Amino acid sequence: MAAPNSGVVGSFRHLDSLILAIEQLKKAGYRELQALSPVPHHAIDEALEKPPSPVRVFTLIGCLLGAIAGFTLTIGASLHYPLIVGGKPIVSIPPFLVIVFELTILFGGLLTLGGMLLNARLPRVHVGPAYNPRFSEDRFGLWIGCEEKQYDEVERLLENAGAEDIVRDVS
Amino acid sequence: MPPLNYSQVDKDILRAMQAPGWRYYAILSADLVVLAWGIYAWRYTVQRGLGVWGITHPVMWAMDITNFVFWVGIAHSGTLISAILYLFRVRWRAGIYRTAEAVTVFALFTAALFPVIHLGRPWFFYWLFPYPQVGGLWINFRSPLVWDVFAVSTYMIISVLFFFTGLVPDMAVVRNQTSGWRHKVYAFMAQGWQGTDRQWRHYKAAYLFLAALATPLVISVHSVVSWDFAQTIVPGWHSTIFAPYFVAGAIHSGLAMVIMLLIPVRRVFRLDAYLTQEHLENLAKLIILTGLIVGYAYVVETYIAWYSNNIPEWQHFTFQITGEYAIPFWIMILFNSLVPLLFFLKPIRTSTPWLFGIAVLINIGMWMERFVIIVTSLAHEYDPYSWGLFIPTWVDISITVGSFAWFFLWFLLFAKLLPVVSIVEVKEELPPPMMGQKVER
Amino acid sequence: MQEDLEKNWTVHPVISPRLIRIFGALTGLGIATFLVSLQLDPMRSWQAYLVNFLFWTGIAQGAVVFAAIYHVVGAKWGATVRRLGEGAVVYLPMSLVSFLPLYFGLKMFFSGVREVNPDRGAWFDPRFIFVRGGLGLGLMTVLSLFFVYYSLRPEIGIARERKLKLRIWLHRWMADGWQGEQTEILRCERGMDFLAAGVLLAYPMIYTFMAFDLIMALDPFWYSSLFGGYFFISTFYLGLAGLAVVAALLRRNLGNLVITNSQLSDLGKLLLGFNLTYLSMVWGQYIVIWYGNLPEETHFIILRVWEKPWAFFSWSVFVLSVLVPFLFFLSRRAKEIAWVMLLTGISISAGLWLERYVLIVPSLWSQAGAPFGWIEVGITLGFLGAAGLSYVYFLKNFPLVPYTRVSISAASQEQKDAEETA
Repeated sequence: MAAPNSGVVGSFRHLDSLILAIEQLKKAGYRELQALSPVPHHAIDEALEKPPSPVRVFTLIGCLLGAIAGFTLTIGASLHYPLIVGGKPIVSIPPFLVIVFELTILFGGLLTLGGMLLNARLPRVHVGPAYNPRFSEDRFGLWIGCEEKQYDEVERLLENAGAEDIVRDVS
Repeated sequence: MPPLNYSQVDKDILRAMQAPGWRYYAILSADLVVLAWGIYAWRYTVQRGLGVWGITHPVMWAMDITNFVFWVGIAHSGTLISAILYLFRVRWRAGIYRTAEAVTVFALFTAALFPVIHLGRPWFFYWLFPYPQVGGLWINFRSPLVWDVFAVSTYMIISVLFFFTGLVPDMAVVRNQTSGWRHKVYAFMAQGWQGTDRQWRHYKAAYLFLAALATPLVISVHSVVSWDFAQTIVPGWHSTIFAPYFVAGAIHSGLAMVIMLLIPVRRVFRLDAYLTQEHLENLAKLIILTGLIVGYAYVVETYIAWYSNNIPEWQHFTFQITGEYAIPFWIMILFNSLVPLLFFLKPIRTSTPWLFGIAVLINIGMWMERFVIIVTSLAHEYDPYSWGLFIPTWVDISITVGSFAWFFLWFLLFAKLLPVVSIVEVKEELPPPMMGQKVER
Repeated sequence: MQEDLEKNWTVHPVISPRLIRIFGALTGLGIATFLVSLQLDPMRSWQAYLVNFLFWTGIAQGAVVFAAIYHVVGAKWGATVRRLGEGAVVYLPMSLVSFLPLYFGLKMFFSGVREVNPDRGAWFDPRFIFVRGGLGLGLMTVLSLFFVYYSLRPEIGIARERKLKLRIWLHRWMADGWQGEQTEILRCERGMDFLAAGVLLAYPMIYTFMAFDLIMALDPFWYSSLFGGYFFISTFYLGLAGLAVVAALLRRNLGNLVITNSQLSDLGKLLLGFNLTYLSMVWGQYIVIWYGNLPEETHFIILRVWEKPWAFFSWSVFVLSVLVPFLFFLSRRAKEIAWVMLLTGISISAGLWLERYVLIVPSLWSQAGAPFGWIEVGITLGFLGAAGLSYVYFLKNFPLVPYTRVSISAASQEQKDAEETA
């Protein structure tokens, strides 16, 4: 099923109007909803019922990779050119654990950031036309993906919920 | 004071980023002059060798490493405020976290200079990193100095990432209100941010995990730095308490630096509604805690020096309290553990001049502490034949002052080019605009 | 608010008389075991006694310290959990009493020290150790008792005002001199502020020296400056684990509304944090001693970590107190399940009991093998019985859900209004 590429965007002054609009549009059967807001709010997430973010998986993988990298680097390098330093064993695990720990955190952090960018589809070269700069200041926005013939119904629902500035045909 | 709503927040914070007046340029110029002098002092060192510093046998580390540890320490409180307080869901961190995080990043930029500055042949600094070398030689992973490389590099990378990730939504606000080349730069930094629910969801998840990773990281970094000393068997250095002692001291000095910078920022940019009395008071309370921990460490170290029956340890301790470096030692005790106790008194911790004054004293005290730890131990090791002193030269002092100028330069640029208070976090702490409609379920 | 108090006053877990009888029997068993074993093998009895003394005092004090921290930082996520922590204070006077016979044990432990270490001999004199230990413990007990007193007093006083049934003479004594709800709530809040600060200032110092004197000094040549800090962090971690066990058990008893999912989850997060903090305290000592490689320091670690039979104990400590809880707590939802919290709490507690065992016993035990048999089990059960009795006493007689927090802001607002109109 092809996701509609175009839709309608409504702008709301109040958070509860936005939530009301989301509920009503969901009741009316519209599934392609995207909210835009200057701040995150748990009420928006609860109303939209989208699945939790998979970024945690990236973090876990990053940490594991980092640990493996740490052990490989330290043990490998020590065995490659074995030098007894300070009377410590060639493969001395306690100090190597410090390196492992640091690389675990480093890789974990880098992959977390990567996971966020990937999932959030950032960076974007162009900010989409659905975006109204006021959505980063003090207005909330709701984009509904729908066909042209549904525009009127959507607009009506949005206005009932209290939207101002409704724009059609944006993706 | 108009009631705080979202657009008011935007206006107030962005107002601070308007074109600066002559005073800003005057301070910036003075700072650049001092920095230039510091750079000149380092050039002098590179041309003539480390002998132009005061270091000599037996004190082979002195102000170079003091500055390194000092600046790494300053960086810690920023991560405490942005990451650890975030995990504990402490609400008042929202207003100050941006400035604190900036202090972290710039302190790390400053600290990272010193491992290079203190090298005899600084052009070989890349030997510190593990790379496959033609002779097959690798760095010594068992050494705490190499742990430093990994820990401080990781900390710098993660802090910069954390800082810029937190900036992205704010950059969207700034992008929308600027034009021309400035618009392009902020648009790049905003990475196309739109504030969709999808972006926010992943952003919040990433932020939480970065905070969760940064917390053990920050504790490990200053522990690793402390192990530069504790892993030796030098009297006064070989002590298991060094790791938590240094971490507490780091947060102590970092909080003091944050207070020192918040007070003028608040004044100059008229951000009293955002950087409130309550913020400063809470920071002061945290300083009481870290000051007590540092005081605890002083007491325990003294006890163990006596208890251990270890003659070199005990003579090192008596050298500290009565020897040539007694003045820095007593400054350290007084400024770090006793002066902060004044914050128990409410009138003192709610008075801006007192806050600023005590913060300055704490920073001086913490710099002295690093100096005392490093220099007194090296000056007075096991063998009386090899005891000696460190006397700073003009080059040492110039480089130290230059490092402050470097740090301050970054901070001055930050104050004008980026929002000093996190717009999004402040908005999050406000109640969202509601019309009071009932939402049907 | 009237209903809240009355409802909370009657919220009590069902504690069967059989449980109390079991705890009583265990206490008796412990005392009997101890007295018998004292004739057979005094060193072994006193070792087991010392390990248990430190463990049970620690678990109670750690829980009270949690309550004090909760109050000082103005937390709001779990007042009931805080009250559960306060309940542990009833054991502290019993612990102080149990410290008294330890004098004879100390005489045994330190008997040869003066010859071995003449320079510091006077410091190791068992009489001196006993007196300074007793004073420290006494101070902690007094501060903790008064802290909890101020926490409970408002509720008891209001209950008395509202003519609710006061169960025991202690209630009447605690509500003595009641000056009315408004004044008392604020007065007790200020009392709590003061005493929580007192508890938190005294705890690190006193427990540091308890560790230095009662554990570290048993090996007169070994020292570690972080040992005191390590011990009071580990004791706090132990207190949290005890709280997790109690909270999980009471949840089954009282239901999800008294001890909620989010409270359990937050307690779990705290446990995760202190798990890692505890680990860092162990590691901080290990890596410095490993690297310095000085025999006067390493012998202590090598004996416990690499030599049999003690190595078995040390690695069990690591698995039970660090590894198992860490793996469980990585899951977000695990922390909300009562039996997971119960198991991890027990695992951590068992691990930390073994930790105290492996810190103390190898310094004292000169025979082959590790002493672990009916003597150790019997004495441990005895202390368990005593701790259980004291905690059950608290649960039966004091309200579990503090309500005064809610009324503090209301009371102070009313007082402010009254002052303004006056």
